[in-house]
Amino acid sequence: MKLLNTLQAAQERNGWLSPESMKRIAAKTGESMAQVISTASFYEHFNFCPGEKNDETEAYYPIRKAGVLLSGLDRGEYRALQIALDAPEEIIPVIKAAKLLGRSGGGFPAGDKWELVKNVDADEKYVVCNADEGEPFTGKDRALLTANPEAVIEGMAICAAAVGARRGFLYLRGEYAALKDGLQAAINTAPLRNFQIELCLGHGAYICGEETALLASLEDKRGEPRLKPPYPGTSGLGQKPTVINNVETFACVPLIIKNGAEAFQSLGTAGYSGTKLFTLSGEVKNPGVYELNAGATVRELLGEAGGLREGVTLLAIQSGGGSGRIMTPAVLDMPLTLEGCREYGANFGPASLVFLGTEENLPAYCLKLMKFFEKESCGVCVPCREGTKQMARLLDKFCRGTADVDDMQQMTSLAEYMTEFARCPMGMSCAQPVLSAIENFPERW
Amino acid sequence: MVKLEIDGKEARVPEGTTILDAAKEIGVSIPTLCYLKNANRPAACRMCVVEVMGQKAPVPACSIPVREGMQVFTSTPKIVAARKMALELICANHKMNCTDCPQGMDCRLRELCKEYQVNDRAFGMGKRENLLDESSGHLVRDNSKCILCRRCAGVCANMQKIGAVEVNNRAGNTTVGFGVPHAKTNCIACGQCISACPTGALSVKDNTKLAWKAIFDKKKFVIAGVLPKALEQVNWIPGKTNREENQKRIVAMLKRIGFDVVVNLEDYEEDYRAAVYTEAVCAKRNCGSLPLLSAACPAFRNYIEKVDPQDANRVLRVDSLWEYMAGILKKQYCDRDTVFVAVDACAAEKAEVNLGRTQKVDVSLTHREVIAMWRSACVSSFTAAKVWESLPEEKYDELPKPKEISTATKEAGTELKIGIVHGMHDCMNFLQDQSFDLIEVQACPEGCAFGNKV
Repeated sequence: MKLLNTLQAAQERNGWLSPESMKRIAAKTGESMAQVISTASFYEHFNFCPGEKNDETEAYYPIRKAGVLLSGLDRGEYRALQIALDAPEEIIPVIKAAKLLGRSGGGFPAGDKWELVKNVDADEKYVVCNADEGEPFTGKDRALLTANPEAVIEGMAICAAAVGARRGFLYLRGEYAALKDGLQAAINTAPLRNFQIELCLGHGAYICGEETALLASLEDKRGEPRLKPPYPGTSGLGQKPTVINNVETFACVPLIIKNGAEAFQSLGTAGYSGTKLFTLSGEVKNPGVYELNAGATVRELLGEAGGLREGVTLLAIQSGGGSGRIMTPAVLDMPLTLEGCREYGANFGPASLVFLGTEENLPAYCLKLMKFFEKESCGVCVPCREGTKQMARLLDKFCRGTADVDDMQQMTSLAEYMTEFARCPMGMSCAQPVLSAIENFPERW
Repeated sequence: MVKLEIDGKEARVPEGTTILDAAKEIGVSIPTLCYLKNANRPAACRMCVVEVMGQKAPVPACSIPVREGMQVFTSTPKIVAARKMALELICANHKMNCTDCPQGMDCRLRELCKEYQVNDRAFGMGKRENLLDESSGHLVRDNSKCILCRRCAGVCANMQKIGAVEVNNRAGNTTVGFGVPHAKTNCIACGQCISACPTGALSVKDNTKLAWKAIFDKKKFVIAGVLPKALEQVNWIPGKTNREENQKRIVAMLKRIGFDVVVNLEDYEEDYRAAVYTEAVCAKRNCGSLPLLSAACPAFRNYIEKVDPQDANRVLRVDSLWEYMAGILKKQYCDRDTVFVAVDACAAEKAEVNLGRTQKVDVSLTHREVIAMWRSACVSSFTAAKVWESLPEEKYDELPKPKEISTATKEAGTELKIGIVHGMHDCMNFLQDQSFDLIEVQACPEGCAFGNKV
């Protein structure tokens, strides 16, 4: 993180990156000027003109219901870390027995991931915590990092002990810079043994939430996703085996080590153990972050949030954040686990739910999301770079009421094409809201 | 060895081979656009996508290694439709003014669009704005035609190891180049990016107007110095690839364009080398540090200047072949007002001429420009193919060899241990090799004889 950090420091000093300062940085870091501009211009937080400002207001989701993760009863005691360090070889079997699934959306079993990295023979291994929570309508990681950062740090340290890593990175979303000092203090006071955690700040790129793009960003490159295989487990940061997990996944780890796999499994369902943080937004009375046992239904969650706002009739529920599918109210009885959502044809994703009322203009809602993805595409592959642009153009036609049958046909086939042929998960999922909205609410177009 | 099946044909390839290479091995063609062997593999264009049995998502053949027992399908209806969609989307962000494009209507993008019967207006009229970078001496970058395949950046960084062109910004604003004006980058003007470009986004700087002006000036005597080997590479008429036949007509064509004398520079190459070696022998006696570096290649001269100035003291300052020949020929015709036009495939020489760094070469033309001149003026309403076939076979003009080169200097070459390096890729390793007296770097990966096909 030499180049990007230096650029960040220069930006903070002067408010923008002048050609002269970039030239100096290029000379200092040994990169060519073209490379410096190439890397810097990828990230939105860098300004190349004086007076430019990035002050987008971030939606903030308060903690409404805390469970074992958010309450952090014995936070700062690091008891689990002690247990883990005494017998590091026991860690992975316990995590596997607890059936801890990755909390980022993919839902890959964490134990399997760690075992893979442990079994690779390499002189250096890394543990990376993905705190680049950019998904629209999601605020769970921020809640967790505010309420209980010690659990995340402890989880990372336990993981490092299990796989044999000496260095870790916590990649914090640039917009969450306000949390930086608190996190750094927590890292400094943590009783880490043989393990260092470096706190890195993102620079304004949604795509860096994708694990390989995040690693590229950590390597001072443009945050463009890499092709898989090879997976980060075998060739991650600097081509070294790397465990990369979500904030919430790491936070679950100390609980499992302390209380045992069974206690963790008793929360949640057979397929999805533990508690889960949900972000609720849209037309609910109390939007925010809720911690419930995994497997709670949408209806239960809505009840916790005090139901819908007064005078609002439920039209649709978008599950899985901004790139999730927009579903009919039939999903109210859907149990919120990976499998449960799959059965209903919905996304689980980062477990964010948006409730939309009958007043909502669906094409306009989709257009707003598509504009976000158009802006955040990394720009490598044709389906995503050009597809989002054309989708936004077509959706705009629908909002203006000038679209015809041909536009509908072109839009659907384009959305299907993007879903199948884009290069990374973001490109594959960003047309989902449109496709599902057409499927489930044909009368609204 | 891994055994797999591609479109029902069995293939056996070493482990780690990509699906694309395996398919090539057994004669199955998969279309590519952004892929360039050993230089560029971003899997961005999605043209090479194929379906694999048992796998839900299609995969890019250029980047996915083969697996034992894999069953690959390269042209299912779904795949063909997807390629069509990709091309339509690319065209939507490409300035579709093919008829006045420097690529002369036969670029890779157009070829694929024809093959897949693409409606290039499916998503609108294409890009409208002008995005030109004309700052450098040898090339013009027109980003309204750039399809962001990144071949140029890949060639520059991975094949030539220069890294002058980079990708900037992101999403819909992504551009290649334009971070800094091209002239201010450490571009060495090797021109490899121009030949890698699958569209008209990169083209050589147009000097045809200068050439026409000289030809139509009755007072001027215009000499064309030609390097035939490089010219042979070109398909003069698309679809016709018979090099020998083309070769015979080149002189006739150049005469028809209006050049007064057409000289084959290859005939004089030996004399040129002898002159260089003589210089080298003298320099070796005077200069302690070895090996000497021949600056015959103008791109390598740029490399020393911009990238590796610490080796400048070992550089043997010699003229390029064209400059040397222009000097000799101008002396031969000293009674006339001569204009020397270098017809070759060297972008770096073009840059030198356009930046006014040459004294004797007046105009530098590449193949594309010569073709354009020929088509625009000599072919008129006939089809290019017909006129081409009717051209007589003519020989190069022979001129008396320069007298000052004696056999003694020719033999100077035998005193030296000479190393010739093609391509910038690993020239760094050779530049310090003390077992040579003289090292000549030719920046083009296939050497000067093949130029950069522009």
